[in-house]
Order: sequence, then structure tokens, then C-alpha cells
Amino acid sequence: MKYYGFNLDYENSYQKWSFLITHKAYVKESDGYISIDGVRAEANDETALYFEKLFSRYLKIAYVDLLNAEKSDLDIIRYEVSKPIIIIHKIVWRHLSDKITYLVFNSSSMEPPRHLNRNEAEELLSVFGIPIF
Amino acid sequence: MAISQEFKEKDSVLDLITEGLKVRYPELASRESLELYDEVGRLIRDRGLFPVRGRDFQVKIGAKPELKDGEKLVRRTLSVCNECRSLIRAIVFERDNKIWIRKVCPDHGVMEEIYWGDAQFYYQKRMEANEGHGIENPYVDIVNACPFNCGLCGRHRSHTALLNLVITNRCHLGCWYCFFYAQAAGYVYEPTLTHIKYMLAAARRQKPVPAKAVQITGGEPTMRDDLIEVIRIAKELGYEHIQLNTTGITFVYKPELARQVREAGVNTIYMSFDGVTPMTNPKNHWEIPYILDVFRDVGLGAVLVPTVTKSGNLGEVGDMVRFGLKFNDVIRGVNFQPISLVGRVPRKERERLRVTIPDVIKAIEDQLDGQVRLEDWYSVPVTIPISRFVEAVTGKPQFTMSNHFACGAATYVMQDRRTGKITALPQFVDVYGLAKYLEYLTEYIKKGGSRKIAMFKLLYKLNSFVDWKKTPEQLRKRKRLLRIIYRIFVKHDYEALGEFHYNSLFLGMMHFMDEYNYDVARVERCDIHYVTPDGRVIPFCTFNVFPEIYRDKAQMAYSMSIKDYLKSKGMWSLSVERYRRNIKKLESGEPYKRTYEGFWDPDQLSYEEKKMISMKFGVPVVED
Repeated sequence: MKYYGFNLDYENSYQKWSFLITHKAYVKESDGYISIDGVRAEANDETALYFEKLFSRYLKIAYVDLLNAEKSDLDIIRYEVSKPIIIIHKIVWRHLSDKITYLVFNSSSMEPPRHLNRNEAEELLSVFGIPIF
Repeated sequence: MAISQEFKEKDSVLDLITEGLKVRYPELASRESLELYDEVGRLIRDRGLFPVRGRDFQVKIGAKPELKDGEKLVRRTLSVCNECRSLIRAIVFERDNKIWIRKVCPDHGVMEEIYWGDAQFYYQKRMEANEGHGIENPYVDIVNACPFNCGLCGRHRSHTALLNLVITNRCHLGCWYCFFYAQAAGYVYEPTLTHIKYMLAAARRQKPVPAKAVQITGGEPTMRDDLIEVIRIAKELGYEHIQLNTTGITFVYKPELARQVREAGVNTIYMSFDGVTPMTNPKNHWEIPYILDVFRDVGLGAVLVPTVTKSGNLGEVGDMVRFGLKFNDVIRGVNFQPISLVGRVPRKERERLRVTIPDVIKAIEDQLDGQVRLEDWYSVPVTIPISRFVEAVTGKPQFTMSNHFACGAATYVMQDRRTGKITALPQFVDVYGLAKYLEYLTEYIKKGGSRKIAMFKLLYKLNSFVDWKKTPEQLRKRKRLLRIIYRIFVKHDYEALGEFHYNSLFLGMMHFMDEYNYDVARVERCDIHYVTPDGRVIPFCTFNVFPEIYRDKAQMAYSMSIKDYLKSKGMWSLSVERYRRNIKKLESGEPYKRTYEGFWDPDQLSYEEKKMISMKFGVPVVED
């Protein structure tokens, strides 16, 4: 299965928003979840839609907002795995210095990605033995 | 519930939708169940009412449009191909002090269209851009790219500011350009009262701000016998502002309906009015004087809605403002709509018709001898600091008009009763200064400051934002303007805003898009929506620009054949409902002469010429 993770440095004066998104991915092995690396992917309609499915509901940011932004340095990383995967996106909001949020996607869960504060994310990930970053 | 019964009921719901994506509407309607409308809505969406990639649209974002020499990039965006409607990349750029959009389709090449007629004005209005609440509870999941995922989905950035509810596609006119009315469409779309209740309730579910304003539209909504019931349902569901979009012609012949409409809860009549002459306004030129008299009698206010074209009525926009001011006791506003060229329109024809917001504003400035200037107009999101301040004071989420700054502009004008001079509100109120001060007070409250002290500070400071020497007399007396503005902030309700409207003429611009100038960055902020019969809420510029995916598809699915409709009503033809105009009779009346005096001399055209104008437009003429 193909999954994507995004690193995004974003500034948009229209939205008055500025944030940095980084991510880490983990796959399930017999002895628990281990960190994996992916390969860089191109921005295309598939990755754009994937990005929107992950972020639009939570961040009110769509692909067209990336095109409109003053700054949108975007890295797209593709992971092709057949095992359960957990991808965690950490969102550091620059205009609200104390606000850090996490978006956790778990392919083995039927639930959509969950948007969590640091404590909630830490608690959820500890079940899988994944450290917070 | 027993399993067999459950299966039976599910089968029966499935039976309500045919293979051809059509609801067996008389059967659904006979059940009178809100839950059933919801269930059928979900089912029909899953079965194909919702857009499907490959079938309904394509995404082709591989090719990138380039800038040429002498052009300056404003921003990148997404648009649709003029030919195949695929989602494609676009750039918005400046050339010759105008803003343009250029897009490239891998299959159909490069396309270019004017976007805004004045670059400097565009940059000024961009500064007024602002964010609103959006919606917390999207109606649909993100499955497709925008604008083929409506709606509303998690991308959408504005809640509903005005909800359009289509209650019929029957119309008493047959305007040459319309393919929507029943006879042209070939079916009748007319949701039942229970169905209407379901749709209106669907839009009220929005969080954090439920839909508060609804426009009842058609077709011609006054053709429904149960219109008053529709208005009452909207009122009962909590809609604070109800407006009726009509030609107004019905009221000439049924003036009592106007009173009933007002008493049921309609605040405003939103009425087509394309100019002060029959040449520019063949739709309701002859009826307008009588309509205004009826409204005056029953206490209804109207907003005139001219669709503006370069070759048609751009030369009359100043007169339309004067007309609004002359009848300001009835006319609350003039909302100009630069034409949206939906459908196939050749380039030459587009160049002949196309105007943009700055073009219309400049024409008003020229035609009113500079009394209402370009700089007197503000984009819609400039109101957001007011919403945020009221929100801080009340602690409740407020209505935020966060549509794209390029979608519309507005101002208020007043005419001095003594001198006749027209003055726009920004000429005597420092709009930016007031907005900035409200932002400061909002922050003050957010940081724990007293709400009472904030209100006191506002009261103390308000005077400094008004230039009393330039304020028209009716608002200057005993500083009436201050009391009105303060009441808006203190009472922050519809009534307080209404008092302001009664003392001024609202001038608006609303430029709906078409496929030629389509900008996804605009549509994702649209706050004028339609509710569809399956319970979705869809932005105006997807609903009407892609009718085969949204408007027509949804309404056809819930329609009945003309034959079945006629049978149910005991009629033999829809044409018996067609309006037939008696020009001689209408022109001979005192209201006609009184209304157009100073605007139009009826002797300029012969009767035959007038008759031809009406008939060519699509309104037959009778003489008895």
C-alpha cells in the first residue's frame, strides 16, 4: 500500500497562518513499531488529494492554499509497505508559540486521522511503544 | 424491530430510487418523513449523485502556466479548463494595470481571461482579506478535488452567509437565455413542504454558526400557492433574515400576496432590475412602478439586482443608483452583478459582455460625477472585525462573511435631502480606523479586559471616526449616526442593522464566476450557498457553473415529469401560467409616469418597438 507523509513550512498572510509540519513514520514488526524512511515523491493530483484528506478538516488548508501561500516549502515522502503503518505529523504553529498539535494516522485503525494535543498524542502513541517527538 | 421488517423497510427505501438515478418523488413525498428524506439523500449520493472522477470531471494539474514579458505574478491557483472542465493549474497576474487569469490544460492549451479591471484596486482590497469561522461539521468527506466535492467539505472556509432555497423551477417568464425553468428543462422540480423543512434544517445544522439568512428562489417562487407556508417554516426553524428572489410581477396582480409575504416574515425582496429603460430592462421595466407602489403600501423593502454587461447596461449604472435613492423609502439597496458567462460563450462575445467589479464601480463614479468614488468601496471581509468584536462582547460565535475579497464589494450611500448631494459612508466615517480600533478592543477583551469598559471605550472613541462636516443632514441631526452605530454594537441584532439600512442605500457588487475566470481559491471561501434536495450545501459558483454535476443533476433526480405535474394539478399546459404583458395599459398608468420621470421618456420608442423588445426577450404582449 502507498502512504504519504508531508513536511511543510507554510506562511500565508491571507490566513494569517504560519506553521511547520514535520512527520515520522513507523511500521509494525514482530517486536513492535520501528521507524522507517520513505522516498521523495512528486506533487501530483494523487498526493494533493492525500494531503487534503489528512489536513483540510483540521488545519483548514487545501492544496490551492499551498499554491497561494507566500511560503510553502513542501516535501512529500512516499512509504510503500504492506504492514500496518502509523504516521505522525507534528504541527508547530508559529503565530501561537505555545501551540503544538499532532495528527496521528494509523492504517490498522478504521478511524480517520486524529488531531491531538501533545499529552493526548503521547498517551496514544505510548500504547504502540512509539516515542513522541 | 424484527429483522424481516427491517429488511422490508430498507428494500422499500431502495425502491424509491430508480436505476437512472431518479427518485420516485410522489411516493417519497407521500411518506412525509424528514428521516426518509435524509436516508434517500444519503443513498442517492452514494449511488452516483455525488461527483465521480473520470465520469464527471478530470484532474490535469501536470502542466504549469508561465508568465510572459511585462507581466507580474500575483499568485498561483487552480481553475478549470474552458473546454473539458478538468481541474488545471492557473496563475493570477498583472498586465497593463489589470489583473488576469491564465491557465493551461495539457489537452486544450493555454487560456486567458480578465479577472479584475484594476490592479491597484485589487491590491488594496487584498489588504482587507480576512478569515472567518468556516464550518466544524462538514456535510461530506473529502473524496475529490475542489470544486468537485461539494459539499460542504472539510476544505471549505466559510459558513453559509446566505442560503438559497429553490422551491420551484416553474416560471411565468421565458427569458431567452434561461435553460433552467420547467418548460426548458423538461421537468418540474418542486419540493414538498416537508422536504423543504428537511433542507432548511440541514443548513441550520452548521457549526459553529448555523445558517441565519435564506433566500427563497426559483424559477419564480411566487408561483407556488404555499409560498406563505414556506416562509413560515423558515421562520420557525430560526432563520432571522428571509428574502424572496422574484421578478416582482406577481405582486402587481396580487398585491395582497405582498402583505402576506411580509407578515409571514420576509424582510427583503431581491428583485431583478437591469436598468431604467425598456431596452436595458425588458424583464420587468413596465411592472416596476406598480411593484414599488405595492411594496410601499405593505411596508416591504426591496434590493434591486442588475446584471451588468459592458455592451448592455453599463451606461446606466449611475441612473440605477439615482433610481434607488429616489425611491429609498422602498429600495434598500442596489446589488450589481457583473455578468457571469456560464456556458459556451465565444471569446468575441465574452469581450463584448464582460465587465468586472472595478469596471462597474468606475462607471458609477463617472456617471455620478465623482460623488461615489472607487475608494468608497470595500470588500466584504472588511466587516469581520465587527463580527469578532461582537463575538468578544457576547461570547457567542458570530456570523462572519469570509468570502474571497475579489468576489464582492460594497458601500452605503446617502442623499442629502436638502442639497441632493450623494455621499458615500466612507467619506464621513473612517472605516479602516474603526475596524482597527475594534480589533484593538477585541484583543483587550480576549486578554481579560472588561467587556463593559470596552463598550465604554468604544462609545468614547466613536465620535473621532466621524467627520461631521461631511455627514449628510439626516444622520448629522443630534448625531443620529453615532446612535445607530452604537446600537449595532450594543444590540448586535438584525433590528439595529435594519435601522442603519433604513437611513441609507446599500450598494453592492457580487461577481459570480464562470468557467473562464474560475478560481478555486475563491470558491473555497464562498459563503452564498444552495441547499440541494439530498441535503448537501453547495457554493453558488459550483452549483451554477457546473449544473450538470450539481444543480440540474440534483433537481432532476427529485423532479417529476411535466405530464405528471399537470395531471396532479388538473392543468393541461404549463403555458397557461405564462405571463402576458399589456404594455399600453401599464404605460398609461400614473405610477409609470411618476416613477420614470427624469429617467426615461416613453416617447423615445414607438409601441411596435417596445412590443418587439418585450417579445424578443421572451415576454408575450397582449392588448385587450
